Amino acid sequence: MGAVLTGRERNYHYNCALGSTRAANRQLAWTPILGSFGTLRRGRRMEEPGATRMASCRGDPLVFSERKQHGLSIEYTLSSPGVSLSSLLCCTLAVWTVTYPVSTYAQAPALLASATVIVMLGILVYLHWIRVQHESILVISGTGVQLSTCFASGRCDTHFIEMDVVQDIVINEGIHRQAVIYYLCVLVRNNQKNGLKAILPVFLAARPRLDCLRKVYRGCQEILHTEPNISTCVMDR
Amino acid sequence: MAAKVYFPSCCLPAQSAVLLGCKLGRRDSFLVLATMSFPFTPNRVKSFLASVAPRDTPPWCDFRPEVLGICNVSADWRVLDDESSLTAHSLCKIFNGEAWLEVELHAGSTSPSSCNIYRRDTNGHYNLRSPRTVVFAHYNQREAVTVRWLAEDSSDFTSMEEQTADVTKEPSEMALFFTALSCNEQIFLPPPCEDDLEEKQSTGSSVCLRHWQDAGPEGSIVVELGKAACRPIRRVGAWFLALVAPLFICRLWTIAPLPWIGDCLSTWLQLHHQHDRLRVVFSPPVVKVPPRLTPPRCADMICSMLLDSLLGLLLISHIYPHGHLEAATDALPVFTQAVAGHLQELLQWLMGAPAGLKLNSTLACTLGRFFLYHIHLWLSYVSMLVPYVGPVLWYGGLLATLGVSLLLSMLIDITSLLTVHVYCFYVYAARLYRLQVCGLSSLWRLFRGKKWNVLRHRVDSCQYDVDQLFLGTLLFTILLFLLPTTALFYLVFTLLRLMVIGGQVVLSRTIWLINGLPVFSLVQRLLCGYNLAGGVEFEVLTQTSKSILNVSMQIQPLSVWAVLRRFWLPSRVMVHRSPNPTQLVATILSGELVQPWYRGGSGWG
Repeated sequence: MGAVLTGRERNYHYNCALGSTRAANRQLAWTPILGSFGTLRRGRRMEEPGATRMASCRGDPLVFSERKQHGLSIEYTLSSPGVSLSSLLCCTLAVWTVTYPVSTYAQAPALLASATVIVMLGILVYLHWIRVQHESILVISGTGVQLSTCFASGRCDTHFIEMDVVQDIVINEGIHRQAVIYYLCVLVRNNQKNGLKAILPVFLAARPRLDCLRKVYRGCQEILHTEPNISTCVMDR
Repeated sequence: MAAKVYFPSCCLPAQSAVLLGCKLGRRDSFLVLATMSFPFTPNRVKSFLASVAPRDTPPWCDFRPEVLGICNVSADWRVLDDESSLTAHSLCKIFNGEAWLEVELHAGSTSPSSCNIYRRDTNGHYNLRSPRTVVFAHYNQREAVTVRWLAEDSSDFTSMEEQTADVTKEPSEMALFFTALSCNEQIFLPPPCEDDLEEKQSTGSSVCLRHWQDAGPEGSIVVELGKAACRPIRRVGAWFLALVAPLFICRLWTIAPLPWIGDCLSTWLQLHHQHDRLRVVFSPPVVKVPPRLTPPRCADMICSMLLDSLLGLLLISHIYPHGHLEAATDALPVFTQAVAGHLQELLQWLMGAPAGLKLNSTLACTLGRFFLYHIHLWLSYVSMLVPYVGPVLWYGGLLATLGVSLLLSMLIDITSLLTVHVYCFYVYAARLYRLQVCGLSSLWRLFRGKKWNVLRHRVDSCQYDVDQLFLGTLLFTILLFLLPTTALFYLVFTLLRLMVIGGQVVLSRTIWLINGLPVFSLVQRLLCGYNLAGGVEFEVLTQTSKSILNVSMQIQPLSVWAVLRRFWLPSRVMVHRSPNPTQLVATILSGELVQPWYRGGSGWG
């Protein structure tokens, strides 16, 4: 296992030595436009070994990948196809073609300028806060559960829940608009008082179907609830 | 459950070394603080560890550093020879810890090839821990030591102490991790100055440690001067406050109407608030817990007060030299005349046929005259007040040196004094309207043969005689036909009142913002975000062995919203919850008085 390193893993290794992955990510997050172009390109070659194509409950294509480390940790990532540059261009062009004649007719160049600025801000907000690129759940044995959401601009929201407060990971059934959907959620225990403190839904943006959720559920339960096999040996010979 | 080893990524040794660190709580988690290279004498190490042991450890955990284990570095892929494992064996006997770690590293690699944990049993033998799986977390020591742990679910240090009074519940592991690091800060401090060196030599300077080295406080003359000036300033401030204090704790203020009046005057409340803050700032510091673990409330308070005063001074320098104040005072009578004129026009309009509505002209006329007389009263009241407004504004404006918030609260008071008539109109109209609505509702019950049972708090059926029914129905009809006229007056005056309240709410919101904004924490977050930790995040690294998981642990800065929520300073005066719109509409329709929603409570709105 250790002998064969894929490109991505080697990259991780390098970053550990420098200890600067997050810092680089944060810088990326402050330059959303550059970051978004980065992911645009990355979106094309999203296919990794071990990734499978799935569909969300709305029928959108999803790429599902799994990274497993011998009963110690498991990470499931659901990625949606990247934002295409052409759709962004079309959107801006459409707004311009509408506002240009209007502003020339009304003789108000400020209208065109403000429309441009609004469109640019809108795209920034969309890429930075709304459009989700990857969502992942990482379960580390004895340590905790980490949920992360990466947006199209490269910004990542990560939430780590310690194992002490993780009660369980379950599949829930919920009503969304006029449909019944399944979703995976992490039950967070209240340590001071007994009972639940929160129910954190996972894959909120991707909303995968039940077959995918089942896979994730089984993998997570394996890490959460199985004890590794016991072997004892004494140091004093 | 897998055991956990937190290892500083800067301490990966090039040669075999001994691991110094501590155990986190009762869990199988080990925090490595530093590595110590060979050769050393065990006695020196022991005395060194005793010298750096934290003095004020929290009672719920023992964070004294000890020798945790050994890290073997092999030059190639060879298995360790017998000799070195023999050394390890003897070492664990010498230091005799509760547990013993054995980490094996290949030279040049960052992740260990094996990590064994032995536990001491009752006979003193070391047994290998049963699940051999280990999570090996690399952390950045510089960030972890300089950071303050402020996660959402971790409460302050002191309250954590209280809550763990029952020993069964331990704080979360991350809280333990950061507390242990800050307790053992002494290891990371720079070596002592030349004078102390001789003394140190005898204890254990020969111990060669490898860890992140704190550069120590920066030697700056400004900082030194500030430190020296701190005490005299505090003393002068305390003396000054002692002079002012009788004004606030005077027994005169407890006499019957005065507390109520004081609570109504926002200027008084704001003055009280400023006084409380100054008292907190100038009171001698209570050193109970390490300063890194207490929120910088004092710094936040000082900064927000400075900002407040600065804004006030700016305002004064803009207003006084340009004569804006005199212009405003001169414009006041003209303004009141204009307002009274508009109000009279409005009333005349209501007394006729407003918007084509056909009202009960007699009632509308009566009501209109009543309110016109009130406007007349108000005009004479304002003409009595006007000569005093100018000096009050002029001298009161000087209070802005204490803070712009004080000026704004004075503005609120002046507005509510000058708009007494609007309040009166509103209350009269609301009372009248409420009376009619109540009468209508009870007569509607009579109309249906029911009545309200006061004793049982419910509606009962009831037998009325013909006279009662006749009179009730007659009254019901009269009230119903008079309702539109009253409702129209009520509506107009409610709108006026809501406008005044809206203006006051804007002012009080501003005061709340100035009072509560934690400037220092916010600037700290924006300039050096990693100082405030809001959480951690893990990244899985390559796996080099079946039983070891390498993860890197990074610290997440607290989000700006979380900083605001956590450090928002309580405010005495103006806290207001914007009313629920449906509730507001219900209150207005039922004719109850709309209370100004800018008083009471504290904290983050």
